[in-house]
Amino acid sequence: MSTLDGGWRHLPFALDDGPAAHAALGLIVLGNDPTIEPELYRILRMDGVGLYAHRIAMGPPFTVERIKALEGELARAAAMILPDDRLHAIAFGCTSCTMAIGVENVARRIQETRPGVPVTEPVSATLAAFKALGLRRIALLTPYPHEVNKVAAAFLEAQGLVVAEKATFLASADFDIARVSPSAIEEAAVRLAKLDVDGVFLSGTALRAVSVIRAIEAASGKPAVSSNQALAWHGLRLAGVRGAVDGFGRLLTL
Amino acid sequence: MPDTSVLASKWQHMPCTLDGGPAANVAVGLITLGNDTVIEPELYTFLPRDGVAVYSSRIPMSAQVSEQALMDMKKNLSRVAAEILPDDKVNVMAFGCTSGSMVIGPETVASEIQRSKPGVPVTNPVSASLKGLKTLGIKKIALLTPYPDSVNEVVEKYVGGQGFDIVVRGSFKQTGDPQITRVPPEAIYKAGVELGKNAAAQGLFISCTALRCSSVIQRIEDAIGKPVVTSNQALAWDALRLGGYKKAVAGFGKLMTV
Repeated sequence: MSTLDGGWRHLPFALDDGPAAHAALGLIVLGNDPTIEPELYRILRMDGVGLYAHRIAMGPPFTVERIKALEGELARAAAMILPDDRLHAIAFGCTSCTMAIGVENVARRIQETRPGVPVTEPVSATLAAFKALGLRRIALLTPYPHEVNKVAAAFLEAQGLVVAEKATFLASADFDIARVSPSAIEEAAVRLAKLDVDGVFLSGTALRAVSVIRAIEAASGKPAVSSNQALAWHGLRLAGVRGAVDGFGRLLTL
Repeated sequence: MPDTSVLASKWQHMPCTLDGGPAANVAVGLITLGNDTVIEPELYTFLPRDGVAVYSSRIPMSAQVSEQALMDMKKNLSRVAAEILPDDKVNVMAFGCTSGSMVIGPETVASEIQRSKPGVPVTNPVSASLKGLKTLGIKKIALLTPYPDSVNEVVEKYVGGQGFDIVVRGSFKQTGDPQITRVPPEAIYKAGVELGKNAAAQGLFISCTALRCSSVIQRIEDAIGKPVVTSNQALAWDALRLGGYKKAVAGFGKLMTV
């Protein structure tokens, strides 16, 4: 079976496809986001799927000018993630930054160092989610300050969605956004979803929405989409993984 | 950009209470090697889900593992540590490389990381593994690695120098992470049992964070009747204990229960 070599046994075997045989998903995370990785792992805990994170500098104040400056860092960050191994898709983990930078610019920058790898971010992911769920008239719940809220609502309206209801927790940094309790998120989202809308969108990757999506849908009877839930769904689908995942809302079954 | 002044007027302010956040118990900052595809899913498998989370950022490392390539990581430790939750709490910092910690030295790894994370406890897979073996009362070990000969020599010397007696040793002899991560768990199981059943060994140490051990640790322990310590399991255990989390985690070997 094994041979001896200077006291070391050489152990014969054949290599397989590795831990992410179905989907190796790269993730560019904002330095201070403490929510996106645990939330994505909650959904992506499945055989043959791996999530590989790298961080980029981002600190308060959380202004539009600052998030625009992040654009230049995307290519460098993407090059840090499995530089000598394969990635099936790569995600940029910031909803409001993507709105400020632009979906095409995010993809173009990332593909400078990862040519041919499909790119997603919470904006494309949520727009694809609204389409898949048939949502046009939505309620928007955000954690952001008003400067960012205005950009978010205007962006969605410009995509042809009707933002019929808007509500915010008015938190200014990831530190506070990540500490908004899931029960507060659930309560606010259910209130909004029960109004005259097709469904509710919970924006923000630092907001702990994933654990309450199912409860929001159960209480309101309408679909709930969150940034991280949509990102996980879109990343899986871009990587070619088609199976339904139970427990995280209607979207993950599509 | 469309005029947003009208839209802004219609926002409802939702009341909310703040709590301890997603890592209320233990926030683990993880310095991950660029090509390691195993450590993050393995840590998320080992770690409990009640307020424990891992926050990763990557450090450049050659796809060809060598003593020099491992030493080259030293200069980037402080910078990468600074990228992880700069304005939020981190309870423990972990460097995700066993052989690199041996080459650089655990004390230097800790002092480099603490340059940007002062006061935060630092762990690494080799210190955690050797601490784990000592905690389990194991001195005579069977050793399994995936490394090439030059790195195996470093490991042998380091572990021997820490007072352990390596009674039997085996290696998959792979050149770097893109290959090591593709060693099948079943091959680790077979090799682990073959080495661990050696009558003189009190336990088995499987070195390297890029080896997929989580699904076979308990099976090897059951087959050989001795404890199995692996890089990622020991890293998870030490990070939890350094972070003040004392509860046992079942299903991943004896170490996670002590």
